[in-house]
Amino acid sequence: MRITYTPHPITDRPAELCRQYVAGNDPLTGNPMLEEIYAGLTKPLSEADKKGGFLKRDPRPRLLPPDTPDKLMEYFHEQGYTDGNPIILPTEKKVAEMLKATSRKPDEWVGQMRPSPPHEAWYYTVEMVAVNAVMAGAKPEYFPTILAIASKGLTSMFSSTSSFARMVVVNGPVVKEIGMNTSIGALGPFSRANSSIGRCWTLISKNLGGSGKPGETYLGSQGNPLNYDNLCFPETEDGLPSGWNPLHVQKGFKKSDSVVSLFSGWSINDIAWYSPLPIHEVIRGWLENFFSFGTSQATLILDPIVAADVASKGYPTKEAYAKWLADNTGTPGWLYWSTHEKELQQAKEGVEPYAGWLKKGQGFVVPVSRYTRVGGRAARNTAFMASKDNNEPTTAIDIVVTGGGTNTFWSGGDFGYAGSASVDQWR
Amino acid sequence: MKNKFAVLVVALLVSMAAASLCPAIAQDNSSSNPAAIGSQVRSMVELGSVYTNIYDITITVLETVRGNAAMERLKAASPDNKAPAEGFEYVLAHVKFEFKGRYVSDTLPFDLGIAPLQWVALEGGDLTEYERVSVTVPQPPLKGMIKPGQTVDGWVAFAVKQKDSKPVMVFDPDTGGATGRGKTLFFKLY
Repeated sequence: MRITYTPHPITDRPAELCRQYVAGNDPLTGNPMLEEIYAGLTKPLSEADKKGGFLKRDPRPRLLPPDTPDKLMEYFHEQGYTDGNPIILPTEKKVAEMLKATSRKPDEWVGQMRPSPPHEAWYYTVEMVAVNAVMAGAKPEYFPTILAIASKGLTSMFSSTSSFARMVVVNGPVVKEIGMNTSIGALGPFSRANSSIGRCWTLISKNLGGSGKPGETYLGSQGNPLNYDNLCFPETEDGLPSGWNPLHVQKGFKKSDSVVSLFSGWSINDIAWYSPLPIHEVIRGWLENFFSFGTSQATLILDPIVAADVASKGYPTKEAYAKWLADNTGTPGWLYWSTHEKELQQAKEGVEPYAGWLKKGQGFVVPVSRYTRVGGRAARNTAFMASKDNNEPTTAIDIVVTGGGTNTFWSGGDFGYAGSASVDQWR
Repeated sequence: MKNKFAVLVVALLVSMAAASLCPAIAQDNSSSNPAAIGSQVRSMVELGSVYTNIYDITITVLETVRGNAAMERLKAASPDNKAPAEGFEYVLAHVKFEFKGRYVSDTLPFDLGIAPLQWVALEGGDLTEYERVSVTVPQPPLKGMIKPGQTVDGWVAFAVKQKDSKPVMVFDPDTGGATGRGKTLFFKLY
C-alpha cells in the first residue's frame, strides 16, 4: 500500500494550516508530501498492486482438534482471540449450555460489525456470540444481554488513532435477575455479571468484528484501559430520585423492559469535591472546564446520594438538570478559539461579539455551550442559533445513577449515547 | 483423550456464517446467485452519522416489465418519456422495500435514492454497470425517505441491451461515507 503520512493534528485545524501540511514534508520520510502523493498515484502498479477483488480468507473449522487445556489456552492467546487475560475454553458442552439461555437458533444471524467505517463488515450468528460469551466467563443467564449488545453491530474497539472507549449501561428487570452490582463498587471489579458482560463485548469485537489487531484493525496510539470491560454497569433504578426516569425509559423503552444502552467516548473522571458550593454547581463548574478528546458531549454517572441532592435543588427530572447544565456552561476561551476557526477570524476582523470575547483573553469563558446540539450535531454557535434554523436544540449530556451511597462521588466523562437494544428480544 | 478438550473455534469468517444460515437471508445472495423475482431477501444496513446502528431490511422484486410493455407503461406515466437508445430497451421493476429499526431507539430514516449503486442495472454475464436513465416511472416511484417500521413499494426503470437476456439489479446502500452501509444485494430482472 502506498502511504503518505500527514502531520497531526488535523481535526478542527484551520484550512491554512492543512495547506501548509500538504505543501510541507512527510514527517516520517522527510520527503515533500505532494511529491509522495504524486508518486503514489502515478508509479506503475506492481504485481501485488494489481491484485483485486475480495480478500481470500482461510477456512476455519468449527471445532479445534482436542488438546490439553493449557495448550489450547496458549493457542487462543497466540491467535489473538483473547484480551490478554485467561479465558474459559469454549467447549461444545459449555457453548451448548450458553445457547440454552436464548430461544434464538444457533445459526440465526445476530448482526454485522466492522473495525471502522472503511473496513469490511463481518457477520455473526448466535452460536458465534455464545462462543465468546463462554470465553468471557459469562453465565448462561447473561447471554441475552450479551446478544443485545452484539445486535447493535458497534465494535468496542473502534479503529481510530484516538483510542476510543465504550460504556454499557444495563437497565430493567434483567439487572436483578442476573445479579448485576448496582451498589457499592458498581463501576469496579466486584461482579461477575458486570465484568464478564462488558469483557465479552471486546472479545466479540475482536473475534467476530475483525477489530483489535494493533497496526491493522486497531490504531489507537496509546490504547484505552476501559476496553477491558467497557465500563459495564447497571443503573441503580431503586436509587433514582422521584421523577427521575431510568435511562432506558428516557430512550423510549418501557420501565419493565430490559435494555442495554451503549455509549462511546474516551475517558472518565471519578470526582468528589467538598466545596462550599452545592454539588449541582460543582458539577456545572467541572463540565465547563472539563477537557478531553470529546469536547462536545458528556455523560454524568451520579451516586444515588448525589442524584438526591441535585434533585432536591429543584431539578425534577434528569432532563431538567441536563438542560440547566447545558444552558449554564460556557466554553473556556482557549478551547473555544481552538475549535471555532471562523469565529476566531471574525473576532480578528472586529466582528462582535467575537472581538469582545477575544479581547478578554484565553481565560475568559465564552458564553457558548458546547453541550447543546442542533439537528444532531454539536452547536458551533448557540448564541445565534435561534435565528439560523428552527431545529429544536437538545443537550448532549446524559445522566445515569449508580453506586452504593457511601460518599458523594460522581463520575463524568466524554461519553456520548450510541443507542440501546432490548435484552428481552434475545431471551 | 483424558484431560483433553475439543473447543469451538472463535468463528471469524464470513464464510462460516454463510454455511450455517438459511437460504432466504443475504449471505446466499451474490452476483452469481441473484434473487429471483418474488423472492424476499433479508439484509441489514448500518445507519448513523457518528455511531452506526443496524437496521433490518427486506427487499423483494415483485415483478418486472420489459420491452414494448415497459415502453407503453412509461408513455402512460409521461408522454415526455422517450424511447431508449438504439439497441436498448426498458426494464421496469416493481420493488417492495421493508425497513425496520431493531429497537425503539432506532429512529433514523433511510434514503431510497441516494447511494451510487442503489437500484442500478448490471449487464448479465460480466456485470457491467448500465447507465442510469432519466425517465418518469409509473406511480409510485421507488424513492424518498423511509422511516423504521415502514414498507413501501415502487417502480424503478432501467435501459438494458436488447440482447441481454439476464440483466441484474444491484442494491448497494453504501453512500461512500460512514453511514448507510450494508451488503451488496443482487436481483434478477428476468
